Parts: sequence; structure tokens; C-alpha cells
Amino acid sequence: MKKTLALITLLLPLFLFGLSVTASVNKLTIELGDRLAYTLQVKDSKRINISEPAAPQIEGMTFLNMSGSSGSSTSFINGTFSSEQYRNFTYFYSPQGEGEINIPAQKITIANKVYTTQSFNIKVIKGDGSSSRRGSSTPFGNFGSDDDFLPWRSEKVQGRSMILATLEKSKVYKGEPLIVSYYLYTDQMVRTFSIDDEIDFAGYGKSIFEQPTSLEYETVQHKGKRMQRALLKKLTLLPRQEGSLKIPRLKGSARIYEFGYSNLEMVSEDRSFEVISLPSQGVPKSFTGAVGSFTVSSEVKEKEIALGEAITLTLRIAGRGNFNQFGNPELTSTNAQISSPVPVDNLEGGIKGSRRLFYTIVPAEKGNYQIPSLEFSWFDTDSGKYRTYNDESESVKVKSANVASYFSGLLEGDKPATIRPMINRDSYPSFRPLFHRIWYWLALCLILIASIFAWRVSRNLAQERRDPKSFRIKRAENRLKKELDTAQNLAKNLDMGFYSHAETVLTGYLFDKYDIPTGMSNDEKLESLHELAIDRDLIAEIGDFLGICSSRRFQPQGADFIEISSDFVFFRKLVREIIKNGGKKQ
Amino acid sequence: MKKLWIFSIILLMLLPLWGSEFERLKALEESGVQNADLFYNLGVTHWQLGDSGLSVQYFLKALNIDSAHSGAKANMNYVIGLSEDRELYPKHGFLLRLAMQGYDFLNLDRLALTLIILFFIFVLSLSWLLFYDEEKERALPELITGIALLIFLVFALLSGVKYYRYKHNNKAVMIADRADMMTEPREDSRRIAVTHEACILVVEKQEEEWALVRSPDGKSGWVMTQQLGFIKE
Repeated sequence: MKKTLALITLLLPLFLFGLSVTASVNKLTIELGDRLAYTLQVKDSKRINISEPAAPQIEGMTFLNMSGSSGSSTSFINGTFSSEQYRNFTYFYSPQGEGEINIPAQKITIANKVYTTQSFNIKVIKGDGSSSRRGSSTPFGNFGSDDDFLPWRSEKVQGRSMILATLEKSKVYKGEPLIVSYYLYTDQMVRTFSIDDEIDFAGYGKSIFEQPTSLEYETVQHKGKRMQRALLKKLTLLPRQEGSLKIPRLKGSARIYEFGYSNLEMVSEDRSFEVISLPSQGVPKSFTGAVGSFTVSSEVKEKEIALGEAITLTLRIAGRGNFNQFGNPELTSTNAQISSPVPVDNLEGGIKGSRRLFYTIVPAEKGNYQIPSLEFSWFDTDSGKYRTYNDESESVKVKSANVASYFSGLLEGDKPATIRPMINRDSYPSFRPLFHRIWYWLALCLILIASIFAWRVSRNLAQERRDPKSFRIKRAENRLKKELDTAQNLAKNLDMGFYSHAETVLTGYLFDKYDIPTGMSNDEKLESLHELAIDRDLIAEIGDFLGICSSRRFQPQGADFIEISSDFVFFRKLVREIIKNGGKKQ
Repeated sequence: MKKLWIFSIILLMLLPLWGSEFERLKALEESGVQNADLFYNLGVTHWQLGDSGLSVQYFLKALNIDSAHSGAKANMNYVIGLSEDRELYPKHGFLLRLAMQGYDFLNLDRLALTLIILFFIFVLSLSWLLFYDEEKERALPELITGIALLIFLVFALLSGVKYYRYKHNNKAVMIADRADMMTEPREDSRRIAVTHEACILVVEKQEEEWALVRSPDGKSGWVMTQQLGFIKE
């Protein structure tokens, strides 16, 4: 029990100085017109690095502004110094009426952990008129000089901020894009601005033309006053009905710094624009809803093709207008296959730039092919009239198909009609070429070695074919040399097989070289050697060795180490002499 | 209407997956993985994001690893066909295109395998020649061996060229909307031509922030390296 208490005592500082979040209010009963200060305090033993929590929503109270502070304290508990950091976030509210107001428990998330604070019940009573703060319910109202909990004095909070919208034109045609720019005008220190809502009105479609990510201020004169202006958003409106239409209403909140931060909610001023209908008279047949200011051109690169090849007609529509609201002109022909147009846009905000339409035409017959005329109509907003573009009908010479043309379909994969989709892969092993793999080079070496071996074998064969006698002699000598090693091993091991082996090798050699049959007796072999004019001493030595072999083999007690060693030395000498001079007389 | 709702819900459910897939692919690329399918998929995603220059760069990266990657080839041709500079590319005749397709079909690994098979065939024919009876007429084995050697040498040369290109690919893609090609590596020098996004250029020389490039129509000029996406970084 004592140990447990001691452990708890030792661990107490850790519990005491873990991260904690607490809430407090300056008063539980306030008067109307008074301010309520609601403080969130975050404590930790480490440095606190959090962004300020959003101002709590309190029903019946209006949020005015907030301030922040931070600090640290050091304490000595159970012989250990502990340092504690804290950050305070104080939010100021003004009550909207008398009664009981509940400040709900707040949930604060720090490092993926949720901390819950306590809730408060605040009583709002009617004041006796003595409060100097009465009647100032706006966020930038006059705070009293005795407002001891506010870090600034009211008269320092000055200035104006607002959202103003500018329209490119006040009058547009139905379908003509209109750009509306929303600007923040201010003479305060607005650090950030967040757009909270956009309220639309009937009669138009809209899209974002531009939306900056930060406030880029410029100095302007507004109603004779020098102010800062920053673009908040540019919208493109595409009117669908005639009459007076209201532009979207932009709602947002600015974060203003003036001896602390405060939030200011703003709404853009309402503005309208006039939409005129398109003239119903003189609408061209090929009009598909294009409204704007365009320049149109077309081009055909090919002047001569072979039958089966394709012509590409390009129609370019450039300028400003409702690019996303009109159809593309179609081409038809009875003596050619014509694809649907493939559009390629290079547009800014969907209304400025150019669109190219590609038509692929494959004539069906040879001769002069007349490309059908392409027609595009639009309502020109500059002149207020419909306009039509007719391309100059061009002709392309279509020659007979050549042999290669019959196979042109083989390479059609070069001209895909659409992008191919992604490939499903569970894993992507890194590529290592076969040239980087050891087994590849081993296989190559193996083939190379095999080829060298084949070359050697073939050389021997060729030699045998050219001079069978000398080849046989050479082979016999090689064999003799090789068998000498075997004989040495047998001699070392005192194996009596040495004698039979040596005798076989020697008679085999005599057969290979001099055609002396192995079945002959030793005397007959020596006689044959004499007839071949071989050195007599060598013949004598061969005779001696063959005699030794015969006698040792039938020796009942076998040969001892000295005998077999000296016999091997004799045999080796004999072999060397045979190989050295080929047995010829010196 | 009901189908549209179901489709929208499925699309919304798949969007985060697509996003996470893109991040996964980027992470793999940053970890140094060299895989043709990976680069192909990155090319497709960049195309879907509207970056045609980057998509062509990734398709070229895929083709640098595997010149027979049909998807990367088709998509690259598709994107180039829609680019501003598509007319700059030379138009080849049928036979040349066929030969180029054959060369592309033989990617590095296929060439390596073909080379080892050809070497084996050459060794076999050589052995045949070596073992051939000298008394007989040797024209046929000599011809076969000669042809086998010639084909082997051609393929060895092709492999060498392809491997060199794989290791030292000097192609780059214009990733900026447009860029001026200048006579000198200075902003105040004379402009030669204009290149647009997704145009494939050959890098001839590099000097700090500038690169001397050759456009598909053969014009050479200096452009800023930050406007280029290199195939080999």
C-alpha cells in the first residue's frame, strides 16, 4: 500500500502536467450591454503549438472578437522541477437579450485527441444604466474605458471593410458570358478572408473564372477615400433568361488584426444587370447558340493523297464567348467517310481563347475530291448581328492507291481515337534489363565455351582426315602421357594393377603407332619393332619393362614399395624417351 | 434519373481511391521504381489532370524502358496529335513507319533474347561448317554461317544502340504552355521559334538554366530547362 502511494506520488507530476484544456468565464451574471469573456486555456509540459480554436457558437450571444496570450510557469514538486506552458484564447461576446444562456461544452482537438470543456449557464439581467458598455452590440462598437478584460481601447478599433462587386457590362445578350469580380475593400488590417457562402439567383448559369489563393492588395480611391483592394473571386455568368438579373451574393468573414484578432462577417452588395434577348429575325440555319466575339478560320493541309488516306480539315474558332454552350458544326458527304469533329480547347475560364475542331475525311473514290463546305454561325455581340462563316470549298487530288496503301490499316494504331485507360497492377517491380542479369552472360559464356570446344574437336577431326597416321601417333602419345598419371597413382598406392595397366598402355601405344597387334607375345612385339628400325636400346628397354611387368604380376608375395617405385621410374623414363624422339634412332 | 444518382455515388466513392492511387504511383516513382506500366499510369493520370506535357513525358519514360509498350505509344501519339505543334513532326512513308514499328517492337529484353538465340544459331552453323567434310562443296554451310553472323552483328549493333539510348535518352518534353526558342542562352536574345506544351524536343547541350534543343522540324534553339521535362533526369 505504501509502495502504491509512493508510486502515485512520484507519477503525480506527470498527471498534473499532461496536456489539459479548461474553459472559464469572467462573469456568471452579466448585464445587457456588458461583455462576456470566455477563455479556453491549454496547458502542457511541452511547448504548445496549436492554431487557435474557432470561436464557440453561443445561442443568444453575438461574437465580438478574441485575443490570445501565452506563458509558462515552473514548479518544484517532490524534488523535481517541472515547467508548464499555457496558451489562453479569450473570446468576447455580447448578450442579445435577458434570460439564461447556456454555453455548451466545447470539444477541442489537439494532436488527434479530443478534449471536452465544461459548460456554463450565464444569467443576463437588465442593467441599471451604469454600464458604460451598454448599446454597443456591434463587433467594432465602443468598448468602455473601464473594460479591464479587453487588451485594447475601443477608440483604436476603427476603419471599414466591405465586399464590392464590379461587372464588365451592365447590359449583355442572352448567352453572352459576363464576368463579375468581387473585391474586398478595406482600410483595416485584414489578414485573411474566407468565403463562407454564395447565394445564387435565378436566370443564369455560373462558373469560376478566377479565384486567388491569397489577398493581393492594391491601393485604390473609393468615394474619395484611399483604400486597399484585393480580388476575392471572379465569376462567369451565362444568362439564360432576359430581364434584370441579380448577381450572386457573396458571404464571407474577414480576420482583422488590431491589437488582437477579430472576425468580421460581410456580405457583398446586391447588384443587377440587364439581359437582352437575341434578335429573332435573320437567325442563320447553322446557328447552334454561339454568342460572343469570334474569329473563324479553316485549313486543309493535304493537297494530294492516295486513295485510302485521310484528309484533315481544321476549323479554328477564337475569341470570347460561350464556348461551352454551342454545338460543333457537322460535315456530311456522300462520297467520303467523315468523322465527328474532335475538339481541342485552349480556353481561359471556358470563355476566352480558341477551339480547334478536327475533321478526318477519307474519300471513297479517286479523282478530284471537293471538300464539303463548312458553315458556322454565331451572334456577334460587338455588332449585335448574326454572322456566318463559310469556308472556301477546297479540292484535293485523290490518286490511285499504291501497294503500301493496302497495308496502311496495319499502322492505324498510330492514330488512336481516344486515350487508353490505366492498367491495373498490384505491384510495379523495378525494371532491370536482361543485359544486367548474370544468368544472361553465363548463358552467353556457355555457348561461347561450347563453340570453342566444337572448334577444337573439329580441328582434331580435320587433322585426322588430312593425315590419319600422324594424328593417330599424336593421339597415342597424348594418351600415353595421360595414362602415365594413372600409373603413378597406382604405383603410389602399391597397387599391383600398376603392372597390368602399364603393360596395356605400352602395348596400346605400340599398336596405335606401329600397328603391332596387342594379341602378340612380347617377343613377337619386340621382333616387329626391330623390323621397323627402332632404336635398339629402346627396344631392349621396352623388352625389359614388359618382362618386369610379366614377372611382377605373377610374383606370389607381390611387389614392395622400392620395387614398384623403381619400376614406375623406369616406366616414366621409357615413356619420355618414346615421346621425345618417337622411338627413332638418334 | 436513378441510374444517374447511382453513377454519381459510385463516382464519388471512387474519386478518393483515384486520388490515393495517384499519390501511391507518385510515391513509387519518388522511391526510384523504374517500371513502364507505372510511368504509363502516371501519364494517363497527368492527362486526366490536364497536364499534356507531363503526360507525354511519362509516356516517353515508359517507352524508354519498354519501346514495345503499345499503350504508352498510342496515348503519346494521341496527345501529340492534339498538341499545337503536331504539324512539326515529320511524316514518314509506310515502309519507314513499318521499320520503325519493328524497331520499337524489339525492346531491350526482346533484343537481348534475340541476340542470345542468334548467337546460338551462329555457333551451330559455325560448328556445322567446322565439322563439314573438307572434301565436299562447302558453299552452303559457309553461306548459312555468313548470314547468321551478319544477322547476329546487326542485332548486336541494334542492341548496343538501344541500350545506349536507354541509358542516355536525350529527349525532353515541353511542359510549359509555350516557350520561345532563342538564338543564345539569354532572355534578351533573338527568338527563333515557339514551342508549345507536349512538344518532344531533343536536347543537344545543357548550360546551367538553359538547354539547346532541336524541335521535331529540325530547328535548334535555347530554352529554359525549367520549362522542360527530361526523360532521363
